This record gives sequence, structure tokens and C-alpha cells, in this order.
Amino acid sequence: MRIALVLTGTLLLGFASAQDPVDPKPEAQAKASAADCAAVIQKMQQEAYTDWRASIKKAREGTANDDGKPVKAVSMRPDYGPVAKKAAEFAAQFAGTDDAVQFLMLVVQFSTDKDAQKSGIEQMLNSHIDSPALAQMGRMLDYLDRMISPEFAASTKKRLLDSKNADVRGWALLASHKGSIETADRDGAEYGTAKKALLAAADAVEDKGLAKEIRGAINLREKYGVGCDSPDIAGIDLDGVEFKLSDYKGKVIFLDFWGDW
Amino acid sequence: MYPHERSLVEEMKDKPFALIGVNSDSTVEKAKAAIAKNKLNWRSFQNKGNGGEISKDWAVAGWPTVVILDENMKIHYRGHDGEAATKIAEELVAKMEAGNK
Repeated sequence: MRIALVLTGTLLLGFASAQDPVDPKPEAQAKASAADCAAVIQKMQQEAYTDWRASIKKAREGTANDDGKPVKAVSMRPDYGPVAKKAAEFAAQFAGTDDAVQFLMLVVQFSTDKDAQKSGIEQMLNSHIDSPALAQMGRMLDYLDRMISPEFAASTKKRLLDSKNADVRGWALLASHKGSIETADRDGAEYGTAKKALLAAADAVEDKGLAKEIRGAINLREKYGVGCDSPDIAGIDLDGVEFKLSDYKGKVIFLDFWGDW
Repeated sequence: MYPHERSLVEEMKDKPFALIGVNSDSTVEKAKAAIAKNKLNWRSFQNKGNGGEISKDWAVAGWPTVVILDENMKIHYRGHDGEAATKIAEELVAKMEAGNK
């Protein structure tokens, strides 16, 4: 899909410059070349992955013909270092425009250098706080504390709340209040405040998936969380005999979601 | 986890306690093989794979997940820590027994 969009962009630019070769619209050109750069990154990313798979295959074949040689070590993940480096170059090239955001995001995603990741996030917060593209940071917020530090994660979430974009604020609110929704006393002020803020955010965001995720977190706590009356379960046991969880009402129930794997 | 659950069921057999499983193996045969091999001693619902209806309703995202319900089916614990769950269940049982005396 992205490739198709890139091609369309290139074609449009082709037409534009054919019609007006003297004065190509600078905006259209900037847009198309940002898409071109994104395509370059995507290609590098695919190549890094293909190389990695090939090296695993090679190592495995080596083991299959085992003649006493030790098994070759294979890296745990593709080498995305060059991808991160290239993304940083593109981010610098588009600095000052929101096109830079997608490349900064890739730097944060693919770099293994904490300082580079930190600086990527800071640039996004400093220069692109209102860009809708910043919503891509949403899923990153949950592991930012492990990726950088808990303090940095907290200050990032706080700063995202100043965005003019409702989806960006929605992600930041969800990440900030998830803990309260999951564990705070449901009759207490902390839970009430978190729930009120999140429900307002769910109404305000444009991203339907995000709204569903916000409401789902509250629903989970209020239907299946600590303090709730458990919904009944009706099903069949492993011999096909029908039974209900409520058959065991009157006893303390240890409900164990298990599997042998 | 199996030995712990097995002995818990054994220890609590004369008490107001029930260990109920929601089994998420892909087939009943697989579940039954595990039961035979590990001498498991509790009744389980069939969830039919880890994308099954029961775990989906309960939004279970990691296995094993344990939920502790009191005698009125109110939820007292939900999480992945078998030891913490056991402690809460034992406390609830003790409280029931104290109340019945």
C-alpha cells in the first residue's frame, strides 16, 4: 500500500514538473521527496531483514551438515543500525517540517543508542508537538521507561499532553492513567479522576481504535477486575459435559487460565 | 506451576474451595495428555485455543492468568502470580471457616 502511494506521488510530481518545468511547486516537491526517502528506508529495512533471515538459514544448513564444527552464532535481530543512521540523515534534511517526524520515529525505533533515541524524542517534542504524526509515538509510551528511564517517560507523557492534536493527547492520557485504572481503589479519587479524563479523551479522539482501547481498559477493570462481581462462565468441560462457574458459588474459586505449552 | 496447583487442590479438598481451569490448548487431546502426564486434578472449561471465547471475554493476554473469587463470586485477585493468588484464596477460605464457627 505504501509503495503504491509512493508511486502515485512520484507520478504526480512527474506531471507537475512536465506542466510547469520552470517553477515546480516547492511544496509538492518536498512532499514527494519525503515519500521517496521513506521508500528508501523501507527498502533498507527489508534488506536488513532478508540478510538476517539468510544468515539464519546459512547457519542452520551448517548445523545440518554437522561434521563436528560448532554451531555458528546468529544475531538475535536484524542489523538495523544503517537504517537508523539513514533515518537520522533524512530527519536532518527535513528538519523544521513535520515530514521529519516519521524519520525521527524511525531513529527512535531502530537505533540502539540511547542518546540518539532520547534526542529523537526531544526533537519531536520541541519542534513537532502539534503534528498528528506524533500519535505514532502512542504505543512506544508503554515501554519508554525501560527504553530510556522512568523519569524521561513521565516527562515525555506530560509534554505530549500539551499537543493541540486530540489523538496525541489521547495516547499520552492513556499511558499516564493506565496504572490507576488497573490498580487504584475504584471508590477512590485517583480512579475517579483517571476514568473521567480517559472517557473525555475517548470522546475527543479521532482514531477509533484508540477510543476503543481507552474504553476497553475501563471496561476490563469494571467487569473483570478486582472488586467486580464476576460474570458467570457457561461452557463444557474436557469430557464435553456442560457446566457453569456459578455451580461452584459458595466456595472460594481459584480460576486458572492454563494451557500446556 | 502444576505441582503447586495439584497440592493446593489436595490440601483444600475438605474446604470450601474449588480450582477451576479454563484450558486453552488447541485440542482436547492435548489437554488430556497434559492431565494424564502431570496427574492434574481439577475440572476445566474448554476455551479451544488461546483465542477462545472465554479468554477473549476476560481479555486474558498472558498465560497462566489466575483470578480469585470469593464465595459470592466477587473478584479479589487477578494476575499472574500464583503464590500471591494462593495466599489470597487461603485467607478467604480461613475467613469463611471462621465465620461458620
